[in-house]
Amino acid sequence: MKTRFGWRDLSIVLHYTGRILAGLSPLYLIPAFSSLVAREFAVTVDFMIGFGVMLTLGAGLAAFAPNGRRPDWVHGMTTAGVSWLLAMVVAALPYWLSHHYNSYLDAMFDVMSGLTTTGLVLLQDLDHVSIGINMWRHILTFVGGQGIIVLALALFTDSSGGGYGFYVGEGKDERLFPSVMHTAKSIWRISLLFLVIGTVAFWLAGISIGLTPIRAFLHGFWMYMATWSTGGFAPMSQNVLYYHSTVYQILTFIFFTLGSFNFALHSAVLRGNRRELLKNTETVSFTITMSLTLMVVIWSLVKLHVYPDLVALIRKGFFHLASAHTTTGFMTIYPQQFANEWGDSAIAAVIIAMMIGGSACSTAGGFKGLRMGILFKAVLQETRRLMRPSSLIMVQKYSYHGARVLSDQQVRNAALVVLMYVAIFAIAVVGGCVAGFPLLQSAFEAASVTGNVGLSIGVTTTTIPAGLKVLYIFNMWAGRLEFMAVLASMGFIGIFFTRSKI
Amino acid sequence: MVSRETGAAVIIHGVVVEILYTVALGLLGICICTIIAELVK
Repeated sequence: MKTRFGWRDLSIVLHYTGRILAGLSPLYLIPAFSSLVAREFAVTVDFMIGFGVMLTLGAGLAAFAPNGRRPDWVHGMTTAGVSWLLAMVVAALPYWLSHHYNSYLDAMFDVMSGLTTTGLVLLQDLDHVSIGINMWRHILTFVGGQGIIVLALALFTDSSGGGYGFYVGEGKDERLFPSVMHTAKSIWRISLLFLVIGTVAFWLAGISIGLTPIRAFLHGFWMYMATWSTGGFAPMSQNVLYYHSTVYQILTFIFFTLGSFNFALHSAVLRGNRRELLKNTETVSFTITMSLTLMVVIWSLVKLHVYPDLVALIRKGFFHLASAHTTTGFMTIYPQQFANEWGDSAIAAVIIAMMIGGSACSTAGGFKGLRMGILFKAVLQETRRLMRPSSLIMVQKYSYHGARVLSDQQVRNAALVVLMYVAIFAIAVVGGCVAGFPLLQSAFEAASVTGNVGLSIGVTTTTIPAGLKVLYIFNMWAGRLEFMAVLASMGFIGIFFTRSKI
Repeated sequence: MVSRETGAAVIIHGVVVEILYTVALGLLGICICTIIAELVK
């Protein structure tokens, strides 16, 4: 049994990290080509520089020979965690070169916000950024939604061992197929299928509200990518409000709700298993928690007379709650309106919705409906156990692609992840308060970054202290990877440098 | 699974079912908004 990590382990991690980065480098060519077509030649150069740096770094790291050793579980997890951090550092280069950021830290914040599908923005003067930069923002959030490791696994042509460690390290533990690479390819096939459908739908909606066909296509393409990946980015600073369109709002609701569903659920339904939609623990959990939090939000908004009529109540109250619960972060109001108009109880309900989030193995964040369902079933099981004779063996079942028996290990795993979420949420709340923000606003923003949501109550601006930005970056990263890869990375680095035994 | 083995008709049917499901969720949300708004008024 391995008791410490040495240079050979490090070389395995660096080798596969390099391969992932090199695999991601062609993504730069998409915004480079877009900006070239749009005659934004300086922007094209920025992206070609980024492409060169990413490819060189990736190839350089991949040159570390793993000496024929196959990566094991720890290597896979550590690689996942480190890859996300290095991808953030390098992908920020075109942002920084665009001069739309006050610092490189702000640029890295926006990359992590995009990759983790959070959607908070520190970019300056969004309404006047180039087509290339807007393309990059939305490509990052789309790829991040599926997972950068999933993309790399889909591109790998050989069957690298330890693939499951990479995959789980990215917060996805549901295999659609026995082979991880086959699963990764299937996830991309599902996303690309909906990419075509969604882009056409948004394109037509854009034309119907008066955008020119080319502008409608670009906005449709970007909005779809931000919607499906539950990212919340939009090409204009007013976000969805910019379009003043009911059709746009309905489309975003449909596609961010779909994006928050488990890829295994999509897979089952697309194979003809429609009943899974109604029986699955995650969809049931989502419907219940969404309904309960919606009741509180609407009750609060009506009590405070925030919106004058039912249509406004639905288009603002319901839309933002759905945007929060699916961890999308689209907004049709300004951040300060949350703070000044919505009232404490509505804000508290939105915070809870943001923390719960969407489904496991989806593009969404939060601690996920599956864990919510498992913990609820565990409470139910314990209650029933108390009511029955002690000699009786209790079996609790839940529906998740067929009936499954709830095990103590599942309950323990779910409880641990929820506990970790709450812990880093609490740290971010304290961080916000230390930076001088009120408790409720700090809690709202902390839930937004931890759950990878992107709704803002006005805390996240370029003027907040650098320490708070770093804390938020950590929370986005840890929340997206669901801690295992983060713990593995920190453990690996700590053990490697201290030379201590496990 | 979206794969070469899955027929196009089954996939299209699945896509339509998923979209209709989200529409149903939206209608449920609208119903909740309407009922709560009426109760609180």
